[in-house]
Amino acid sequence: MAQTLTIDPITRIEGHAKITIQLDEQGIVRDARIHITQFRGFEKLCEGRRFSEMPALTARICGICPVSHLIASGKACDALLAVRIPETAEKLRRIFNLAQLVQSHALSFFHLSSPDFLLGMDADPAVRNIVGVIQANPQMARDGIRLRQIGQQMIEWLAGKRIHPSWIVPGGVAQPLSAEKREQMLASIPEGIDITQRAIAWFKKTMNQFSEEIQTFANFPSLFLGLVTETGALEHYDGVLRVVDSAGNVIADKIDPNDYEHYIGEAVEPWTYLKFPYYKPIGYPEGVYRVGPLARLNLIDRCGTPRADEAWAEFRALERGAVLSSFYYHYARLIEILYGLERIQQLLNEPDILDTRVQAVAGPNRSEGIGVAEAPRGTLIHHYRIDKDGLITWANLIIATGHNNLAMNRGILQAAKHFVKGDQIQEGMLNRVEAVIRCFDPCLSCSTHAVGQMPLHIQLLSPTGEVLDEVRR
Amino acid sequence: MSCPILVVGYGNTLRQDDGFGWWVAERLIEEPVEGVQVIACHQLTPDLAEPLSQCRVAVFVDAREGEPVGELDWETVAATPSANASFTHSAGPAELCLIAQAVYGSAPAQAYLLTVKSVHFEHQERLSPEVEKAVERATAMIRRFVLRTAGGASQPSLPLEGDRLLDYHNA
Repeated sequence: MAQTLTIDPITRIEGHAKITIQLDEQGIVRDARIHITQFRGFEKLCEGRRFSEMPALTARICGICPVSHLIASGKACDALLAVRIPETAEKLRRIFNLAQLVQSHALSFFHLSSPDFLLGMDADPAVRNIVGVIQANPQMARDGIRLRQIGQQMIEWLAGKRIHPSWIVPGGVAQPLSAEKREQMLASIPEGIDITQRAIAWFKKTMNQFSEEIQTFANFPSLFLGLVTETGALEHYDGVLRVVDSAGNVIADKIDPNDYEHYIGEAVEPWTYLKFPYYKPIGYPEGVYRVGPLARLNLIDRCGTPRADEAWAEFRALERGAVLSSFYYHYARLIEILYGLERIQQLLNEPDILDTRVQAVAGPNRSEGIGVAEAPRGTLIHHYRIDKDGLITWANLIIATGHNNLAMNRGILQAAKHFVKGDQIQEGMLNRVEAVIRCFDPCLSCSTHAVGQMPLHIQLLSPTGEVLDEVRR
Repeated sequence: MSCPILVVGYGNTLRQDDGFGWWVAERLIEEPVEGVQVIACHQLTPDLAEPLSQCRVAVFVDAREGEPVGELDWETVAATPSANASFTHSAGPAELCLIAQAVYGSAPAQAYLLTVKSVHFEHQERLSPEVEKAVERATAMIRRFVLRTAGGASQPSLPLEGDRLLDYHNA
């Protein structure tokens, strides 16, 4: 008798999801899917609102990465104004974005994934929790809390509050940086760098215990996509899009982010609310690409800061071409934290960082605007159209988690085929399938918002697969 | 010890009465009480363990489902983890006290949870009239509690029963 295993809800991710694993008559995995079961509808909700409200509105999509939405939305609004924002404002936005990256990556690595690393994938779920982490490695627990605090504190110092700050405005930022806050931020960076370097050293030793997971956690050839600087360095705020293949060859470069629609298509499936972006020149569903920290480190020629460059060189030496195992997303996150802290330090030491001219003021001068930035989880695209009164007539948001949807599904099938056997279902096996998803650190609350066009398909199936009832809309 | 008493008010201000704790904290921030540190946040996160480790008494303020709407409850928080404690981006008061003790070697000697009952958790920024009144009463209760706790007594006197009776009459 065919059997379906369900993991619902998946734990230690942002949002809610369900995985189903379809077994065949012999109990061998035939298929596996991640179903995103929540629905937000932000793109539709924004229609009719003034474009200047979009940063504050779209930041409400998520309580974990509101800064990423503020940045991408702010940039889309800058495009509508047709202004170039003051240089200091751009630098402050960059710091803001990197502080978000530091806190978000720290959350993913230390808070969400460290129970798997410290206690093992087979550990009893009763001990694979906060108490277990603290008992196994109190220093790591302390480091995780402190590192996230450093990123969160920087966001608060810049914008006045940690969650849903309204500091990013069309044309720049609302307030300049004070000398006092600059000194406070600079003072916290050395401790953050120490913590990160300690974590990288620990992870390099520890990952040797996970060779089976490295082999089977979404470890397959795919494309990688993200922003890089004009000279190929790590970039999170601006720059151009680059695509590399699994051998590490650049197959598309210096793509103007405004041309994203020529390269990225979006497909929908009836069994999930999360769309499936794909690389258009290859088509759907073959055009699988990955975004986020692993992709970014595969795309670049260098990071651009000394310690991160050193760590990146070691990372890239893991494989001859691109680093393919999604297990290494965790490693890449730590290197990006290091880069983020170093880069923030550089920016804070720029002579004009305290300049008080931080906003270009204008009315709408274009009817369409696109803002692209790198969120912690990958490339984030906000695309708006407005009418003559500046009201939103259409919006499209492509979220990092969506870009990775094809890869996540392929990844859980790979892991399920390796770890799940029908006749011996154990907690550790199911946890490994979940852990594949955690590698991508999906933010599901951000990525499910395509109201009006998302098909809904409900099937009631008998144990033999017979359709007993069906609803479509 | 940076501050003897810490008040943490938390909740989602976009979900009507769920924002109760946040509004109480904001009220206390607007009119500060000496010797009290106040944090307003949307949810409890592990990084709150550090300030918790530095206080002697903690008061968490939250909303819970129940009736009669607007009724306040005090309860003692025991620093024991719930059965499904997980190291995620959110935690409960008990887990946070436990983290503070385990990671920083110190936790509040006494921790309390002040909650308001409500059934109104829709998408709205405005509190229900009953819970809006409860914000005032809760703020006053915390101020009274702080006054009775002031002076560094190792066992702060907690006239909670009296407060609760008084509050019930006012509700």
